[in-house]
Amino acid sequence: MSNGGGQVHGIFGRLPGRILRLVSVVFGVCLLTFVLINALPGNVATAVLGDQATPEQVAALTAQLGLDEPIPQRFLNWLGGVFQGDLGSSLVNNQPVWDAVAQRIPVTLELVALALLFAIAAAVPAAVLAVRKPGGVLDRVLGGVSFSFLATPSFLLGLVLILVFAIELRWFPVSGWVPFAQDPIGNLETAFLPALTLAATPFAYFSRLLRADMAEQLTREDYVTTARAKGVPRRAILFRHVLRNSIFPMMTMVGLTTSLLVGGSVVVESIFGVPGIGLLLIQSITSRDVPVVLGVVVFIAAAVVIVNLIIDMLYGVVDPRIRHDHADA
Amino acid sequence: MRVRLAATMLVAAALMLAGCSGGSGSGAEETPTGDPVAGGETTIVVSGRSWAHLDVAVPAVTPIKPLLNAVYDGLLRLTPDGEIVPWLAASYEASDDRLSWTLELQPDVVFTDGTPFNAEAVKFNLERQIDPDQRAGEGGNLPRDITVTAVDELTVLIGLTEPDESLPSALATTAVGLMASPTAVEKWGGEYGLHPVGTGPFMLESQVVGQEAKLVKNPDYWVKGLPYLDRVTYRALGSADSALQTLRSGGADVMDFVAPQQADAAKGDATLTLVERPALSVNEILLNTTKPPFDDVRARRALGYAIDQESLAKSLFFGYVNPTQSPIGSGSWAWSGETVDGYPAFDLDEAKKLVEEIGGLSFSVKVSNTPDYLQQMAAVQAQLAKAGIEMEIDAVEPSQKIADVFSRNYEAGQFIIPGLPDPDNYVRPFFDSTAGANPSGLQDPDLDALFAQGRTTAGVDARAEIYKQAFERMAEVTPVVYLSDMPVMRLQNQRIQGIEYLTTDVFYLENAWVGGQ
Repeated sequence: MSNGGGQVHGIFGRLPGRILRLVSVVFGVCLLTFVLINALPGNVATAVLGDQATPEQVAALTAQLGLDEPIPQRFLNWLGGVFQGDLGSSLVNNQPVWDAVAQRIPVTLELVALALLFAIAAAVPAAVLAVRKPGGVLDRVLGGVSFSFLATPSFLLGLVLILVFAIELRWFPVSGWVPFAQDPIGNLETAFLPALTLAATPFAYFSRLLRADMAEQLTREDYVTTARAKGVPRRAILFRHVLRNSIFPMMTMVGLTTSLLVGGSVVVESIFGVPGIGLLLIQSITSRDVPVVLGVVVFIAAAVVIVNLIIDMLYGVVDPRIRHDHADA
Repeated sequence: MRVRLAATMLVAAALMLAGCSGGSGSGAEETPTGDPVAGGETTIVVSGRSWAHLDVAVPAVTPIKPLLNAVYDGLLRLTPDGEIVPWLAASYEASDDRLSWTLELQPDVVFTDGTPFNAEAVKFNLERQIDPDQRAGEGGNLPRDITVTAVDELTVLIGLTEPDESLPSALATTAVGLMASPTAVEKWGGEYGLHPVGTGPFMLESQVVGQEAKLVKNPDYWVKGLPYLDRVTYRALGSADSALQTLRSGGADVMDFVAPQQADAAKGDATLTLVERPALSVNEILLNTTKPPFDDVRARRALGYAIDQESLAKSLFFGYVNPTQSPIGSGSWAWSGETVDGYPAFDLDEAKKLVEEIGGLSFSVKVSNTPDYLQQMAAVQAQLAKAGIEMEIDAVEPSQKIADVFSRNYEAGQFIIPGLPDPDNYVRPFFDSTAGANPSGLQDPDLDALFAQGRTTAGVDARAEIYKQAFERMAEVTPVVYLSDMPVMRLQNQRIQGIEYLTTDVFYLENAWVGGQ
């Protein structure tokens, strides 16, 4: 990935190609989503009409909503709207999809960003502590903690955190959401436990990856041996050299994890009653509200692709070799 | 002896004190006493249900009825005691031939957008409910051919082609009686459900659709001095556990739609009160009488005989439900008692005999694909197996189940239909071959005649007697077998007072108030 560009303008020169790829990924995801949701049994008409609908009513509403057109035709119709900046409206309540998504996306993004922050902030010191004595008590304890986080489903962890911090200690509310603009402190209070729950898995990934990479460098890399031979203190080697080098693979991991987190927030939002995009997605899938599902998916796909794009570009900032490689090419 | 008594009393007093002061540090559990005070706010949580809009006249009218009833007032109202009383209609009266109903409206009522509430507004709303172009919602509870006339500013005449004695109940307990602002409906068109305007005690301030609705007090509410609360927040959570924990932590004052499992989990918590009302709903397995195996009444009855409702009530529902033999619960005036003559109540030998007679019985049941329903059906499956009946569980999306059952593409389907007190609204549409969707496909002229009689005969006692016969006829022909009745339960803490909880899934908030501000 880092060597294949061949462009002379460095990392930014490859941007147009990247964006083209971004668009095609998002397009592919939308097409797949559209096919999948239409493959599900039932349609929005039966979901909307409810308990006492007659088959005639279902047929009438299906026609009224244009759901009797062939699937490719409907996808093209939708796509045509998107190119004109119109994501369509909910089939259930006519709310413009943009409104529904825009209202909730900041909430989910805040959760994901906070979770990443928590995970990174905890994983770096944990990895450094663990790698100081590989195989030592601290290393094994931290390893155990990481693996138990990986093994614990988020709905369980969320409930445990609620029991301890919200029910027993009463430090945080059990559920709910206060918008940042309304009350920043309250916002952090409501966001803390969901973000913490969400952070558990990436914390485990990051700390394990970082620890493993640092341990390998400490034993194998020549520059470490050289530095130690020159009498550089172990602490300085760890922080100034090894950690800096190991940040690189972790960044890749952060990018990959973002997509996991957006997916994971579906569960976490549901446990903590956070009005984010995850709950919207679940509700609209249940009611077969295709435009809303697609709208949400477009945003999730775009967010994941953009984050990975940014991280790709950051490689160059962290590791000058990449910039040089491209300059050479 | 005396010392012991004194000691016991001391302990008791200490316990009571502890009970009263428990958790008072947070200020959430202080029991308000004395007169209602104005001000304050409350939060209500629910799980497993949400809303897509707050329109009263579109399909799938929101299953969150308390929200609708906070924003809208009804023409008539159901009281917690199950009586129907005037509300926005200050009085209602039928003509001698029972073919026209006159409503005299409350004067000086204004929608929260300033539109006056008058006879024209009532006409607008009722006609919107029966409009065939309007996607049908609860409008089916009104006869399709009613005529609505605005006689003068405050008098409305509803004309019928045949008597409909369930009309007051429809106006009081379903969404058809809730009055929306005609101006707002016309202004917003298809998006009206996101911008609801009624005359109710609260107004929608903001919402995240289906997740959180913030209501503020209607300062010009027509009932003077009400509501007491300044703000109400209604939140839908993804899990029943987090809803219960939110309530326990003081993050909410009321939990709506409490399932037996949560009721049981909250049993030991002295700070919470379980509000129980007699059930209207029943948990039932609807049978398709138009095709095998349930076109044979013996197969249908064998199912009834094989189901041990007592055991289900204890093992599955923690004793919060009762066995039932009628299609409507004890909360309805039409309920005819615990037993209904002719119903195939649990009798394993009888079940086995019938199964043998028809040469074995196996079928598939459509069930909503949520864990609690699947668990219930697994228990039923085990019971049926004892009688030699083989039941396959077909877990489907709720919307798919509804579509299949109402197009009669099913053998059996499990349902808990939200309860209404009048059998004409709650029972008839499912079994009358001359009206309604009749998903059972039953063609029984006797039953049809009884339903018609129940609909057109005046007087509650006379109607109750007719429905007793109708339920006996249903027990005999068995188009449906029952698992239990299903009451609507809520949990609340002691901070909030004055909520009027109904037997239906509605509660009224205008008299609610909170202490400890």
